[in-house]
Amino acid sequence: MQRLRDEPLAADQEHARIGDAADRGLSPVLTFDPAEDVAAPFVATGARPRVAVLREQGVNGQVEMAAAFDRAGFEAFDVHMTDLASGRRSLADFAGIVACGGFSYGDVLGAGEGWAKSILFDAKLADAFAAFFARRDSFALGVCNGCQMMSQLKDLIPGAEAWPRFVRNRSEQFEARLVQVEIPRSPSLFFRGMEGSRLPVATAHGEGYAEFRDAAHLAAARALVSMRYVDGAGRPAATYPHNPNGSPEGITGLTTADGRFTILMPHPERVWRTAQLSWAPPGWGEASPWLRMFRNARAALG
Amino acid sequence: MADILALPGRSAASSFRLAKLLDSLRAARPATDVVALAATWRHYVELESPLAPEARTVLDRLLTYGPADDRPAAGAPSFVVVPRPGTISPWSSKATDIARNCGLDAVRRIERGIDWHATTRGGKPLSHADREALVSLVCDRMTEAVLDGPSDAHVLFAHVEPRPLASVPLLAEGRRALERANAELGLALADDEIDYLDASFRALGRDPTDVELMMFAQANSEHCRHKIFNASWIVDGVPQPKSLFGMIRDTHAAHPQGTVIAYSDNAAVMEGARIARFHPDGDGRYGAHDALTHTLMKVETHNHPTAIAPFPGAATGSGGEIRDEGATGIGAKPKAGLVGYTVSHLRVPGHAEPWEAPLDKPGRIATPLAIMLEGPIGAASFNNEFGRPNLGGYFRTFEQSVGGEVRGYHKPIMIAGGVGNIDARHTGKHPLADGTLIVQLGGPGLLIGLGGGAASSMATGANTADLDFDSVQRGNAEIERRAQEVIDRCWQLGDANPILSIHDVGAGGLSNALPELVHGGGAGGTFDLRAVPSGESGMSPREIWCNEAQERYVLAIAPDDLARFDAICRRERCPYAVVGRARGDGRLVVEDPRFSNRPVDVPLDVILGKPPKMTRDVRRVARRLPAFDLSGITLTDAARRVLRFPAVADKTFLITIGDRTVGGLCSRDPMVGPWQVPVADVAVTLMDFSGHAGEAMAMGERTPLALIDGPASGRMAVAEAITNLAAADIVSLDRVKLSANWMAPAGHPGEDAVLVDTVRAVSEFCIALGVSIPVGKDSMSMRTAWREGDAHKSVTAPVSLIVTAFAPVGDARRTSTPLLAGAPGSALVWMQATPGRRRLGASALAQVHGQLGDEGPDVAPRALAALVGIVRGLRERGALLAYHDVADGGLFATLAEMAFASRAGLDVRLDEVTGDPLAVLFAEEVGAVVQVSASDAARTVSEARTAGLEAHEIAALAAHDRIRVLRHGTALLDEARDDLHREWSA
Repeated sequence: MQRLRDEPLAADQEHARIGDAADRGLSPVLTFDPAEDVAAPFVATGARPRVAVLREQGVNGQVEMAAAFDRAGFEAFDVHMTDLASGRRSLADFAGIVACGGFSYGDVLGAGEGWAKSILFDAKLADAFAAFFARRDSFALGVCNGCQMMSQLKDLIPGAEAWPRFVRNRSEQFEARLVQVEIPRSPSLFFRGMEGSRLPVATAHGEGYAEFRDAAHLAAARALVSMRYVDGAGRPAATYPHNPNGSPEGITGLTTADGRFTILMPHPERVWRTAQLSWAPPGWGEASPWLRMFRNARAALG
Repeated sequence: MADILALPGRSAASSFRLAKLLDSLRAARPATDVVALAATWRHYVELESPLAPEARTVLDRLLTYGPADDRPAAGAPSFVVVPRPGTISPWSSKATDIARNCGLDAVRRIERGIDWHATTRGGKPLSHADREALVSLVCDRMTEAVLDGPSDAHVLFAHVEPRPLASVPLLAEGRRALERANAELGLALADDEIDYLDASFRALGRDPTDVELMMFAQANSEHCRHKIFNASWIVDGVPQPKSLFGMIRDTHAAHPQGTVIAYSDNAAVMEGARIARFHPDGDGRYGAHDALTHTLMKVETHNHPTAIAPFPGAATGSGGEIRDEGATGIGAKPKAGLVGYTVSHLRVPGHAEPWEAPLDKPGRIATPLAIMLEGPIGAASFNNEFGRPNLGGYFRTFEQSVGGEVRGYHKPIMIAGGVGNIDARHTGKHPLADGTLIVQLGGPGLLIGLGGGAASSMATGANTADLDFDSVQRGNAEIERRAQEVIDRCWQLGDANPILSIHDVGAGGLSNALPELVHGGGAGGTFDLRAVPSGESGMSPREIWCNEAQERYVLAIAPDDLARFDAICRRERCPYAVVGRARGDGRLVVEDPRFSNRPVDVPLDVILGKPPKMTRDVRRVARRLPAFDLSGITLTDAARRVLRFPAVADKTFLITIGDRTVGGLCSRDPMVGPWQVPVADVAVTLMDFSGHAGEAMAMGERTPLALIDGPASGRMAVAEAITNLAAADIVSLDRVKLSANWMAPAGHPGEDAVLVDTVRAVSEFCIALGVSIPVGKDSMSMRTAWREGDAHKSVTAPVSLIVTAFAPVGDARRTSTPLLAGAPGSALVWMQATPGRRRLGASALAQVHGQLGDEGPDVAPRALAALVGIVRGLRERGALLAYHDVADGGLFATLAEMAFASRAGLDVRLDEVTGDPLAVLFAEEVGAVVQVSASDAARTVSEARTAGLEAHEIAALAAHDRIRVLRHGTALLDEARDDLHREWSA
């Protein structure tokens, strides 16, 4: 059925997996202790930095994102683009912004593209975002639709020149899967101390293929890769469904040279508790390893 | 006329989509001259004023999106497909919003179409026949139109004059006029309803308008009034003491504990818990709120639209069910969904199965294959875009010739349901004072889905094809999301929630929702027809009032709250309109300032006051069915066939298309283990981000069994739902609540009596078990009839009960799955609620051999409760390592799925189990397999036997990677595990 409906090669690769005795499936590797709360000393000061949980019409993943930042010691605010456009809220009041997942404007002018262009083509909003990104003490995270959107703002984001665009999955289908990613060494402030870990994470998107213009573009992005799909043995995943969107070298997250801005297609904000994971190895406690990236953000602010 | 730009865009279809399309074209028209296809977007931009060069640059950049293009199409297109003139497509409204938000004030509207380029053999012009065949494949005639070229696109922006009100000349022509209107408008009115309308309007001394008749028909349709479920019954000459609905209500009367709302709102509500509910406050600051929070339960079917147009039919099925949840009480939040399908045989090209006969069906309904390729994507797309995870469901195929007639699901079952949450303070709707504002929230009315309530109440084929197509709606999930955000902002205000009452707009459109809203608040209402937002200019009053355009809610707010409600809607960019006011005299008035008349002006009682009174005098029909003939069936062939059978086989293709994590409150989805194999049958959600309390839901159905024994099929459906649910840490059986969704071919000989007997059996079974049925739905026209030449043909569904079980969960982390713990020294124990029984009737084994059999499984409430109790006991003492219920495919499928999920070999030993191995392995008696430590196995077996169950240590993890079935040292079956897994996933 899948073969009739979707890109047949993807369906064939998934079926071939059954007979692959070497396929270990999800096999997490931890290079840190998820129970360790690196944010605790800073939370203990009583300071709760403000993070703007940003959404546009059609975004639907904001509550769990706010909860993740809240748990890590931030004060999270619901910020709709209309709040920024009307002046009710100003990005200057926030330490960080996080653009959430969903289907902004129903993805009608490209996934996340309508959202991005409504910023780029509005002089006031474009200036506000550019000023926010230019600050030395700001950070930002874009997940899924927020990743697609932020990748289109790269002209405003210092150090984001080599980011790709995110377009239709090779399977030409929405893919919702628990897959394994590796955290490579990268400048991202979110992933400090997590390098080398391999973790299961939720993905759910139809347009996550990282499209690079050419080999030189891809080469320029390599040092900024902050998350990639890997197979059970830790190799960059080339085949479906380990690599659910077909991205080159399994690339599914990038950061900037100074690590303040990070974009990802997968959804760590949905699985920062072990109880939220469809599968976790025995012994993981209340906090899944993903809570660490939000705590890292809190710790990075001091 | 304004300027219109027609700007080319990028490629609109990838090469593999185009290749599939070309294959479909060749299949539909083998003689086609078309050898290649290309498709590119074309944007049509209506301008208020000329575009400045900088603005043109912005516009060009806006319209450059999607994957980079390597295959631009050249030359003039063969034809173009555009949104139907007179409509504003959902794409258009969102793209125009973006353009405006980008400062393009000169743009009035953007529309989008597709330029189709067909290359023909020898470069001939595209023939009429080829064009028609291609158009039928690429154009949705309900929402799209075909033009010769982009230059014809000015028709997209033409203004159409509204069509007028019509009245039906009852006073001049008498009852005949009503009968004619009944047929022409597809109202599905019964004779006594026509009599009632005749008398009512004569008493009012005037002719009814077409709006009033349509509204009456919708409000009194089988769909809305459940006439059959409320009917009086006589079976074999014996009057029955209770209606069907009365017997369902008996379950709630016997077990009201834990139920907050039953039968009276858009969804049922069960008691939840005091939790730390996380959401923003009125000032936008997120935080946890200590709040007693209850759980919504709702399950809806959308069978008819899915038969006619699978993608939009299933999409709007899920969309409508989501609205039901959001519109419970004075505003609630949907959390997680499920979806199920029953269709006739799939007949996958190139994969003919021995149990499939050639397909015979009328042209207007989709094939089972098309329904299953397109419908699930429709439902998943809606859920995904709305942002609701889909955590469960079921899929069954059934089609067989039984007693000389074809029984099956040409009219499919498409079922959507879910759980949500509601603040305990918000479960009741408020009375509406005179002058209360009545608001429509959400998208505009569109000329789609007219008369769906009445159409879905007819057997497929009874209506004309045009009326069938008219009754299908189209979905736009993003605007429903915006409306839900408005509802969320309102309930998140707690005691300051401005909503006094709310309903979703579903069957019958505003004509049903607005009277329901004001009537429920003890009031009538005055409405302004032209205040209702409409997406097309040409609609008549009847079309404005009665269309079933989706993504709309109606709600009531106090006049003083309008300003803050307006601020919420503006912030969310969600359209709304004040369409009327409540009035204290119970009258329903619709004013039309455009034509200066009143399309509706009646006491509400005229519309709602005709109590449906129906007596059904029916007979049981004894069926003689041949016994299941097992001769010639080998174990290995049977195993492979059963694993391939859709009800048993791998459901990955239905699962990965749906988001299962959005919202962050999901704990258990169907996918299990490191290889993510779809074998878990319970969905579990969390109630907040800090605790582990949650909700569980699971489905159960065993509809083919109803052809042998209706009451047994009902009990088995309940039992399957409960054995699925038992994988979760449910508090106790008496907190389990069911949705019962009943489907039946009413009027088919014998079937009404089967329905009555089954409802009674299920009611008694539930009462004995301690569970209740606070919610459900019925669809009584499960039959497809058509003519081919002089032959009358039909396909008739069995009486079909789909059960969804819901329960509070103590600790979501304690959910068991079929994933086997790898540790050495464990045992698999099989428990069966019916000791020694191996009944194969209506099993997957029978069906894959084209048979039904004459004796199927059944279960007693005490035995089911004992099984659930043993499983709970194992969990309580920490002994439960893995759990999987026995259902479709029997014990063999249960064990095989545990092996597949775990990539482990199993040795299954039948030494102490009595009976033919085929019957042992493939009977679908109620049971379960649990994994316990080897040292616990004997205790588990003994406890189960003491409780009256059959129990055996049935299997153990093996050192090899094969699935072997052994009896006294002889291998009855010995197959590589991955071979069988591939068969299951074929």
